[in-house]
Amino acid sequence: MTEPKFPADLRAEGMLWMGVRRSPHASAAIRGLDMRAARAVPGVHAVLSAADLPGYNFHGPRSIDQPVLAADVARYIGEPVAVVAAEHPALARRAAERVRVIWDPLRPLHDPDQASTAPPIHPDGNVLHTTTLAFGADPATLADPASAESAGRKVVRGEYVFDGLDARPAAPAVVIAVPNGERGIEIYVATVSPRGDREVVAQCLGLPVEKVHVIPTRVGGADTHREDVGLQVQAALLALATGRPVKAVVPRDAPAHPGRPAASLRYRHVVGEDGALVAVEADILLDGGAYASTTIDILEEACRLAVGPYRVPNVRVTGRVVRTNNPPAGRVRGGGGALTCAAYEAQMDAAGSAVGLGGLEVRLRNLLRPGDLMPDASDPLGKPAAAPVPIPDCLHEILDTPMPSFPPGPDIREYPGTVGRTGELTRIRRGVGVALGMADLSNPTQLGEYATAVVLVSMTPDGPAATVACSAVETGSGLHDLIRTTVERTLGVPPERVAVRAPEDPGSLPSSTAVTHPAWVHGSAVEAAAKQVRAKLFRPLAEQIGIDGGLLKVIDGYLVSHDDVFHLPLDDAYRQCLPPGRVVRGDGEFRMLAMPALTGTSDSASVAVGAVRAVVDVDTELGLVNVVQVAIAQDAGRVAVRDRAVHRVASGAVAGVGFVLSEGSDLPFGWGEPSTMDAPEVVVAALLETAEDAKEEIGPDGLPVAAPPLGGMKPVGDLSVMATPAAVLAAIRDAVGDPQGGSPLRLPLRPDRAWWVLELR
Amino acid sequence: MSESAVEWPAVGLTLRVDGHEYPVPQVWIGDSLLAVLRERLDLDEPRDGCSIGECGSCLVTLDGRPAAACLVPAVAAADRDVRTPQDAAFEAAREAVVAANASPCGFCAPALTVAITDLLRRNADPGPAAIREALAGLVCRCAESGRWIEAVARAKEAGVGDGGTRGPAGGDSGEMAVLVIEAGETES
Repeated sequence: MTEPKFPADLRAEGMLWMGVRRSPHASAAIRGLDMRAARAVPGVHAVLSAADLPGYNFHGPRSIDQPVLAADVARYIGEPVAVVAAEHPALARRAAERVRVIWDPLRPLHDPDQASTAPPIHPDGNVLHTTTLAFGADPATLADPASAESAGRKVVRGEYVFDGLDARPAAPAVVIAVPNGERGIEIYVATVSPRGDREVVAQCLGLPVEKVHVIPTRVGGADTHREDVGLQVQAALLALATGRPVKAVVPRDAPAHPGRPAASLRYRHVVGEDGALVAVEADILLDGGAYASTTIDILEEACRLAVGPYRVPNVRVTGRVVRTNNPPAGRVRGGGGALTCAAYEAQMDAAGSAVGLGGLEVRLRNLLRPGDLMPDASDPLGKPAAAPVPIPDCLHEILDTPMPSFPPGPDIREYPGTVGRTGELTRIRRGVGVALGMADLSNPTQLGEYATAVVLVSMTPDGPAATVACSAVETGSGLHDLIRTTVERTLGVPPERVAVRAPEDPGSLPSSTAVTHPAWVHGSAVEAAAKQVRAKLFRPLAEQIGIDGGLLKVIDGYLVSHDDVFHLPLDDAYRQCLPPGRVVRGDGEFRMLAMPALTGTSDSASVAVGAVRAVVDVDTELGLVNVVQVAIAQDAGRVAVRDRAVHRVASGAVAGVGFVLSEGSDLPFGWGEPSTMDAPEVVVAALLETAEDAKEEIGPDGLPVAAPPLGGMKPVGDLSVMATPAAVLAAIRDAVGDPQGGSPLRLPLRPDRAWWVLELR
Repeated sequence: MSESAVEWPAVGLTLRVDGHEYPVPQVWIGDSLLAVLRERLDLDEPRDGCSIGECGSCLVTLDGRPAAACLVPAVAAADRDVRTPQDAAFEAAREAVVAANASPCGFCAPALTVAITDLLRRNADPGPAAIREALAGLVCRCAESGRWIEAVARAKEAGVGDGGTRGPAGGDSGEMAVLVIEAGETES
């Protein structure tokens, strides 16, 4: 096996294991700590608490509000209080249990509705963030019963409550910290942001940043959202105290991975007799848990995407994310848009039936068009020349997808409930639901992103080969494939001869976290570096025809000038310009501005839209649901690696099914995602490539100007996560005969809460 | 008996893994087979996803039957035939998993190869429902099950399970349960 290893697979000579004393209370003051019994356990080398941390005890991606180790108060069940290093994991556990904590339990705050008025549970207060987005008239006036009725308007109310969700991957959260003399401390961890982690760890340990080396390992779960950085600090602290490598593994029953926040959304849609949306009012409350983590971004995203891909002249969206004594929440796949899409699509169906036109017709009549605004009054479709959203195309694609046969069976494993509590054929109803969704490239709270890359090209006996050095970490989502394809498109080097390498100490590379748009940020840096190579490499040829090297492109195995006059087989070009032994280096960087500056500056729309059709079978007595098929068509900007993109979209649909049917952070080990038994057949009907090929516009000085990165990268994996829950929900309503919608819903509709079916019927 | 032996009872045992004999001294009696395979024998392919029998990542075979290695005490596996995903018997299924891109992040790939091989040994021609059922014990958050079904088809094409001795041959037998947890004597 030459594959890179997961952190759990790394071992070091003399390695110790970390054990953690965690809070059994959701809220409790710490009156004292007694470590003596823990230190007496054989094989224990260190027992440490917050008092032993030489640096700063707090971290957090936004608000620096989360302690590495709780010092005077614990704010959620499972919060780390003390850490232990021992020679065997069982000894570490035993010692951790023997750390005596003198607790003074406090009344916990679990209900986010009460957070604003309850006594603060943190010095920073209980309200993490509020936001109000509004334009036009106040929807409340338009929804006023008297005026609405006289104008023939219908008012549709809805309330949607989502449980929190623990989206941790099968690969556990593991860190190995290795003390390395003068070099300082090395930390091996499945992270995609070595530089960001490095700074936090250095600050918490009180070390200069050069003494901390964060080395990304293989990442499990194909997701960039990882466990919090406190784990790295804890392991490093023990390693420095003992002088030995320390491995920290978070056990499955301990919270480690911020999950999606619990949320409640209240909506009021005002719709005219003709089906035109008059106003939308939304109120969104998120439970951020004990610490802020990334929930502020989720709130902003949810509010921005509160209305969906529709034109509405009057909008008011209010959002709040609050602190409670629940485990910290954070961003997971789909982000805030996964919450609002299920809600606004249910509202559109309800509006459709209120005016007697049906949900699909009302959606089509209100589709977003150029010039229409999002709730934050930004213009999502970009320049006026931009095309309308390609939703009609997407709808055609999903509606043309062949329907699965009905009834299921005779194999009962095809029934709702599968084996065990199996649905009964006479009660199985089929439902079909369609949902539209809109994913966002640009969250207003998005920090600027920055990445650098180096591309080296040289001649080998097989032809030209390239090496890419960048800090992009492959999580399984296909980022390195995308980078290889980017080099191929720019330089004509086939992907099998492109090696992607992490530099020795990637945390020292100037780059930001690139957590939200890794493909865009890293892909663009690599593209820039590859273009520099191309310009340098082929400069002699360009000079012969009197143009700048930057104006040459690689198209279908030819080196071509911008005006198509010059045309040379690429093999010949490489033979002439790249003698064996010559290495051509290109440096690239990409800086993504903080989001407000970005919106509307490119030719491409800053949103991606799509449509999903779900087909479900429901046992209408037992509340068992089998999602038979999910068909998706979406705007994908430009697809670099089609197989990867299709897979990413399909796996997002499965995640979306989990969001509405099976997941929940109350599940014992955080795994509620659909198994192969419950996962639908996923048909990716179309990935529309709406972005034009990256144009090499020529500036007034005769040099190329920066083109939109990769011709417009869309968040290809997010849309299916957002819109699938909405489609499944609509299909379930169709099956149980509740087309009106609008009734309060608590999601997910899990089998252990089967009374939802009575509420809907 | 010394006090530390009372606190930390350990035994020496011999494991037969992938056809090799490994004497392992000083194994804590509470250690699982998985912990010994990974931490003492440095075999990484049985993954440790949860240590509590929930995720299926540590699937191995014990005397030819699948087992979650995290739930088998190491002492109970002594002198039995342990096959990890690194065994040559799973090579063809591994290639099928890679060819179908059935495990994007790669964490679940080893367990998937064992589960697929075991399925095809039991059932030479499983239908989609049988495949879905056989693989349902594996937790994965990044693959889409269509790829897993494709991997089974590819493995079957490659001859995985040919000459299998257990279970009825041919047809969709409906045989259940891939995660059989065994820690002692078995019937058979």
